[in-house]
Amino acid sequence: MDRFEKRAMALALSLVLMFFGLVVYAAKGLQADLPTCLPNARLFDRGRLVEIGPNRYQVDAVAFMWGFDMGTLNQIKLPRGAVVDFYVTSRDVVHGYHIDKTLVNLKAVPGAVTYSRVKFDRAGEYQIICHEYCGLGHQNMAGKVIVE
Amino acid sequence: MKALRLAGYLLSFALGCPAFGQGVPPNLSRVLGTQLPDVKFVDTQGRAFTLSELKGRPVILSPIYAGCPSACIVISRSVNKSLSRLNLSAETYTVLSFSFDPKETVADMKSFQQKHQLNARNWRIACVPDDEALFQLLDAIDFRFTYVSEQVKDHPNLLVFLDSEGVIRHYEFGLEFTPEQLARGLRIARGEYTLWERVSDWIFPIGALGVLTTGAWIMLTGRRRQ
Repeated sequence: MDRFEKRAMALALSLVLMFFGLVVYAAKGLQADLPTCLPNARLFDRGRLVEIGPNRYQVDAVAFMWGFDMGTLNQIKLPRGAVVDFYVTSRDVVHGYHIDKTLVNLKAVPGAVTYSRVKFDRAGEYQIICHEYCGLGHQNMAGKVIVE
Repeated sequence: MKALRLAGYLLSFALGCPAFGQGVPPNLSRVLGTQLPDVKFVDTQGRAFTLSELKGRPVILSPIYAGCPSACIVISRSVNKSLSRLNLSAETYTVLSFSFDPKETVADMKSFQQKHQLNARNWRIACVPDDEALFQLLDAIDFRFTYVSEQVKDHPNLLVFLDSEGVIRHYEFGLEFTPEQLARGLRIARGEYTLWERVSDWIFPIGALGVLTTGAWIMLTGRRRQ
């Protein structure tokens, strides 16, 4: 076997091992919630923020050209320590829904619902951005979660 | 929007999902083998009890809500029917159905019990009066419901089987639970596993190890030939 080929294989194997280790660490160590597509979820076309329990919230977010409807436009306020279930869909084309400093990294797909749960332990502003090119106004499509 | 909804239904059927609104499934790898918090319940007879008081025999946990228009009724009736068919001795199990909706009361659950004639032996139908404790319990079994309206919540359809020490050992999914499903869950809760149940969790790690070993073997033998 060519020595460069061997090096490439060794590198590939090391990377596979490293990524596998990171996946296990994220799942077991960090208890990370993987973003999920819910093929059997009930569809919705209006955004809202609902308190479902003590410091427990549900956000139904509808992405559209070019903004996020979460009951209020582009912005929601939550108390510190809130555990939030995000359900995301789109009214028109495929958008992205990424909340900075969290593991919420979802696609907003028309006709489907994606889901992620996050706990906001620290007060501050968390930017929400569309990270899926969705047309001429894509660069302006942003919102925020304000944790007080 | 109607066209999108229709497309969603068609996609759901194509993927083999018989019904909408089953909520977010639990992450079993995270919850199996964990001890449940010692939550306080109040049952429809008005008796207060904690989970630790149920230790000593397997427990079947059934999260439901009294206002449910469909699934919880089917689940509870099927459990009622299957328990009667199994005819187990009273010392071998306890069933605990509890409301996951923090707004429901013991009176709501009592009315649900009477309306659907849920009267199998060793069956306690209850509420968790403290909302914080309720969500601790729901988190412990990774049960996530989706608020649709005041009346309707989407949720996974499942039963959780605890061993005699209150540790989660098994989940069964479905709407109508057969006597075989209950018997299997109780068997696993007693620690009686089949060979397949013992090894199935290790299939992926063994496969991954096999791939890595094969890769290493190719590299090593390649080096020797050179």
